[in-house]
Parts: sequence; structure tokens; C-alpha cells
Amino acid sequence: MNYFPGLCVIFEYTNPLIVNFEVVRLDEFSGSNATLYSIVLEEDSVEDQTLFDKFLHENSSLYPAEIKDILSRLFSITHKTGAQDFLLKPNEGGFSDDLVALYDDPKKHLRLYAIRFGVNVLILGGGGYKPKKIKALQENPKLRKENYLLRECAKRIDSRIRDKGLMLFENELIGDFNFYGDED
Amino acid sequence: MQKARRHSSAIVKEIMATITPEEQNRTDNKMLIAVKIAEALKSKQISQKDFASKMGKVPSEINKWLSGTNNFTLDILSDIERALDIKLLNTQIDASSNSSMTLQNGRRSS
Repeated sequence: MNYFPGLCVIFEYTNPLIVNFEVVRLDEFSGSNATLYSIVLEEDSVEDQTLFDKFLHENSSLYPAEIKDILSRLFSITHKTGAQDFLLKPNEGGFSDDLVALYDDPKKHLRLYAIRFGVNVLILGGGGYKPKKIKALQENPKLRKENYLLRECAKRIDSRIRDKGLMLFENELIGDFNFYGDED
Repeated sequence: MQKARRHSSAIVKEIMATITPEEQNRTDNKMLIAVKIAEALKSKQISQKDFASKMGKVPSEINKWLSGTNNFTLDILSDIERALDIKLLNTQIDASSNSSMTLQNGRRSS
């Protein structure tokens, strides 16, 4: 039995996951208004499967209409509107301001997490089903796992951008996209 | 400085192929209307709260309008146009289609 539940929360913040990953540009979502990226974790590098691919595989049979709608919205962001802040649900990342969720419609069930860099760049992560009865993502193990994983990726990407190892050029990122090892 | 490696996804292609041009056009329009409203609020320096009050709505309703997911009625779009003094609907009758409706021998023909 855990007599000190608060300590677990502190432990999570002070001992982040160590993840190795590569940021890749999504061919189907490169447009004049924004470029979309996703993340290939080291463990998925052989299959070359992004977090976004995994989200689609996990949910496309269960929620086909919502998945279609999400892809359609991403296409609009890429080719028409850019990743405007009001089109995305903000503050999904605790201390990280960049973490957003794509969907904020009370009638929908899926949450897709992403890291937003201005209106031109969105890095898609994973997500999952958000039961209506829960208020915070922490109440659902799957959402919590996907969100906290993306928080860790966001921290390392942020750090590389601050060090100028990654830069925004026009509506794309340029630089070093490999995050292997603990150099950041 | 290099660009990121390009990743092409079979599942994305497969699902994108099921989205009809009509469906994509609907999504585009919902999101573009949200952008137009947001730009008007910004340029006129009107807060979402004040806009909600002007429209007789709760702030969460305005939030939904700006999320690009709302299916607006014609009445609401007309009210937003008046409230923000912007054009969201193109109701101008095209001159060329107008000229094809001519009166012939006192009768209107098209």
C-alpha cells in the first residue's frame, strides 16, 4: 500500500522518462500554411512507425468518423489556416506551454496530443479515448502515458531549439532531428 | 542545416482517401470561419468575453465557435457579421448570372 501518494507525483517530475527518438516530417501534411511532424521512438524505428501512426492504428476501427475528422482538420491546418492557437486545446502539458490537444468538442471522444511551435509547425504525438466521466487526463492511464511521453519529448525539443540545434525556417524546422542519448 | 527525414504513412493515405472533397470543404470552411472571427476580434480588440456578451452567449460557446468545429447556422453567421462588421457570407449576386435573367416581352426568363 502506498502511504505517501504525493511522493509518487514528485518522483514522476524529478525522474523523467528517458526516451530516444527521431522527429520526422509527415509527407501527407506538408502545406503552404504549416508543416506537420511526428516522432519515431527508438523502439519503433525498425517498423518506422510514428506516434501518430500508432494513434491511428489504435483508434481507426473503433472511431472511424472521428479519425477521419481529425485527419481532415489536420489537412485544413496544413493547407488553409495554419496551427492557430484557438483551433487547438491549450495547456495540456502541465509546465510546458507548447503542448496542445487537437480536439476540443464535447461530442467527440478522442484526444490527440501535439507540440505546437507557432502557427507553422505542429509535432503530432499519440493520444486516445477520453471518457466523459474523467476531468483530468491523469485519471486515464493511456492518456496519461501518451501525454507524459510527449512532455518529455517536448522538453528535449525545446532545449535543442534554445541551443539553436533546431530552427524554424519559413514554415519548416531545420537542424538535427535525432534525439538519441542524453545530450539535451 | 538539414530538413527532417520525410515519412510517408500507409494508414494516413488510406484514411485520407476516404475523405470526400465535400467533407474536406466543410472542414475547411468551419476552420476558416473561425479564423475570420478570431482575426476580427483581434483587429477590433474585442475580448471573447465581451463578444459573448454582445452576442448574448456564454464564453464557452464563443470558444466552440473559435475551435473550428462548430456547424454554424445561417442566422448565427448573419448575427456575427453584424456584430463584428465583417463578411462571412457571400450573398452578392453575380453580375453575369443576373444578366442572364432578362425580361423578354414583359416576361422574366432565365
